[in-house]
Amino acid sequence: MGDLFDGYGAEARGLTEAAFDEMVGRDGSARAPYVGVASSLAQMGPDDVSARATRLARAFMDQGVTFDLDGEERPFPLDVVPRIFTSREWTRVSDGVAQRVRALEMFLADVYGAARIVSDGLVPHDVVTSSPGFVRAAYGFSPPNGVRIHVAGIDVIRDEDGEFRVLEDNVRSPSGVSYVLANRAAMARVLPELFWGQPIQMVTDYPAHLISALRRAAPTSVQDPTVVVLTPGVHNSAFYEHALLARLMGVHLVEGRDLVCHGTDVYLRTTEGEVAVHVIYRRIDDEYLDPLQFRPESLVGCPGVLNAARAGRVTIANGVGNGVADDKLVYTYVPAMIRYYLGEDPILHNVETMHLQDSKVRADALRRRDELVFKRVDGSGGKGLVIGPAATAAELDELAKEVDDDPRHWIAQRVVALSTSPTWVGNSMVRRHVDLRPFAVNDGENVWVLPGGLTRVALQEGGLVVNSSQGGGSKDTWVVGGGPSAPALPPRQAAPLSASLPMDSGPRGESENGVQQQQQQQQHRP
Amino acid sequence: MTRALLSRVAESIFWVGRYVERAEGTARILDVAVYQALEQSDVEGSQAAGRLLAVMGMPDVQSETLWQATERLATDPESRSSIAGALAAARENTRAVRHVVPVEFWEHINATWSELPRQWEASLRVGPAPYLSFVKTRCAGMMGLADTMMSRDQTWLFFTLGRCLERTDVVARQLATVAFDEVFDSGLVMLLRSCGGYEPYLRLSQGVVEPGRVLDFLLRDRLFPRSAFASLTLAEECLDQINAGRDGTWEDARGLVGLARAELEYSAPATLARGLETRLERLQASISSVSDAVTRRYFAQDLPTQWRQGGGGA
Repeated sequence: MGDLFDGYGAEARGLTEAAFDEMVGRDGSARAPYVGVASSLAQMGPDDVSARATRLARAFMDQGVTFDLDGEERPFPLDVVPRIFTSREWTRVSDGVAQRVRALEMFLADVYGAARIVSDGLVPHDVVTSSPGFVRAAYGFSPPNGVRIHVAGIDVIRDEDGEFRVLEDNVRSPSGVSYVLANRAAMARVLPELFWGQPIQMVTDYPAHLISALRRAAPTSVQDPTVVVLTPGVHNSAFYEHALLARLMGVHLVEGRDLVCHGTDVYLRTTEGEVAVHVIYRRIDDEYLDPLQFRPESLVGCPGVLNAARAGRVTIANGVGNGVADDKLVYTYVPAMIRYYLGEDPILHNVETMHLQDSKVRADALRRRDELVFKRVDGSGGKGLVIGPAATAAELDELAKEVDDDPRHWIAQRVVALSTSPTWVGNSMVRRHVDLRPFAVNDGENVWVLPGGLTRVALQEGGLVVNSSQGGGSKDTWVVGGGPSAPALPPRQAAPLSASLPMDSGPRGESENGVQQQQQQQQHRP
Repeated sequence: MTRALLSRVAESIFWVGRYVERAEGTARILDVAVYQALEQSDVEGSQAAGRLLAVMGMPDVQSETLWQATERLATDPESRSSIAGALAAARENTRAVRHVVPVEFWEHINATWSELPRQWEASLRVGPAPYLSFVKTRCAGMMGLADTMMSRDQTWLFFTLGRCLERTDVVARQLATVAFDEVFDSGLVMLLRSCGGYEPYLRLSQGVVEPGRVLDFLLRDRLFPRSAFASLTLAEECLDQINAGRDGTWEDARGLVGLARAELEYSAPATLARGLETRLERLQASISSVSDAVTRRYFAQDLPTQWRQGGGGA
């Protein structure tokens, strides 16, 4: 390693110092998969690296790879240093994520049906029914191919020992996959030398997996289903992602007002009249989906769509009522679910979590509130999250009151020092905390996990919150070696074409003419 | 009937159309091939390099890495298959006829040509993406200027004819490198992207990528302007107008284009893939013959040099 990494991590204090570093081992040497990247970056030198960082930012601005914050479009900062997993590390994450998705699918099918897990006493009845994500209207309904979690984003972190742990499950509308695609494309274009010679598993076929899963989720009577992506609209913070997915799947991107229900059928309003819709990949929350069922004031939903889904005429993906499965209190029961439904040991462990409904536990947690993390059970995007060590006394007192008033809706966890990764900030390479959101697509037969997923990085020194709305950035995430996507090019594609004709070319003799013309001109030169 | 054009001028403008289209097509092909190889871990890049050179009609060039192949196809000033070579030839031809093209058109092509080396220099540091995107944008600008600034006279007709023939040729060349009976999805996606038709195709097929459908789309979609059928149809219209007022007389170029178009148009979908290799060879050969016929009929007429060359068996 050259100058670029000299003194890397020397400034780290506290949690950052205690954290596991993705690139540099405890003995100070770079881990094997990072060696090539580190030496390429070191060869570039700080000025060139900064120039590339600027280029990355500009590429994102030009492409409109932005998220919307308080009505302003901002680029999602992409770091120049990729995060790299070996295929062995990745197999563990990927198997663990797939296992979790399978268990959560069975849990959802169970709690919206016979609720065996409740009667068998593994999950308390009130934990299920008091969950903000539990939707009574979803009871007794089973989707066409049994899938409710078409897309999952299971957040995984690495603790101080480098052990992977699940931080939370997202099985409603997990977002961020567009950045995985955009990051890879931008990195290859701006920093091609990092890629050369690295057998990186590709990410570009995510939309193909998604459309295939969505088509297979269509009502069984439909031969050639019409799939749409339902967005709240251009002002939504993830609109870029909705548009990208629609574009790469070749389907319509619709808003609620583009849909209309007649009886139990849903139609699109088009220039050629109304066209039946069979699968709605919705990126709006349950409560805004159907004003007839949920919030009557919702303008972004489509009245009657839930009824159509219940009648089996249209599939809503992800399923309605999935929120009960990614409730942060229900999260604590997931390892038990895995054993109960699958008869397997959990591959990925949870982070230790305290149940605040127990008054003794709650009193203890609140006494130590300056050293714990508190999360609202239905929070996401960094909302409803209080990190004790980073909060002011006033904030913590406010929190204590809220928790005491409504303990079911809060959990507490110890502060995990998320692993760190070299990140280019200002003009130097510094340690910053990262997390990971792998994306899984369930087509009913197979849970496919996109190799890599989205690594988010907290750009502030010592920061542990990685959300884009809280000043986070992201990193291109590589899985190097192995993997089913390695032989990507068709074997015979390079077959030499002996018959290939040389290209036609225009009239020759211009050069001869040119020489003569020049001679003519020279005679007239003054 | 539109006003007649000097044969020499017509020939130049015809080739401007071909070369600009070729530069754009090459840029698209390179952009997809290079970055797909990077993103999909074709470690040596040799498969991609082989495919590239095969598409460009240079299968004999051996043992090139992807970077060497890219550099050659992007910058080789000697070869008219390269971007720089094609744009230089386009610029040379435009310069000779700048009195009949809109001044913006000439300036645009001239500025593009003179900017190329600087763009490539920047690309040496960060890879070919900025160079290729520059070329694509500038070529689109030339097409736009031609379409919005030129009268639909013979200048425009020969320019567009050249464009259409070249476009058909590029599609045929690309199809010829894909083994349709054993192709993977990623190969089809790459093919569609390098023909600029990925997204239109996806919208048409609702995201289903299938060899037969892709073939049908690229060969004879009626609405996608880069399909062989759409290009040949437009070429036919240009020839009709160039030849207007002389209806009923046989005209080689018009006949050849019509035959090629009809063969695509009236083949049953199921038979399209059958004997694909020979079909594509025939299509490429037709384009060359049309180009020759146009040259004989409109550009060369019966120059003595032509006659002597034939007699000498050269």
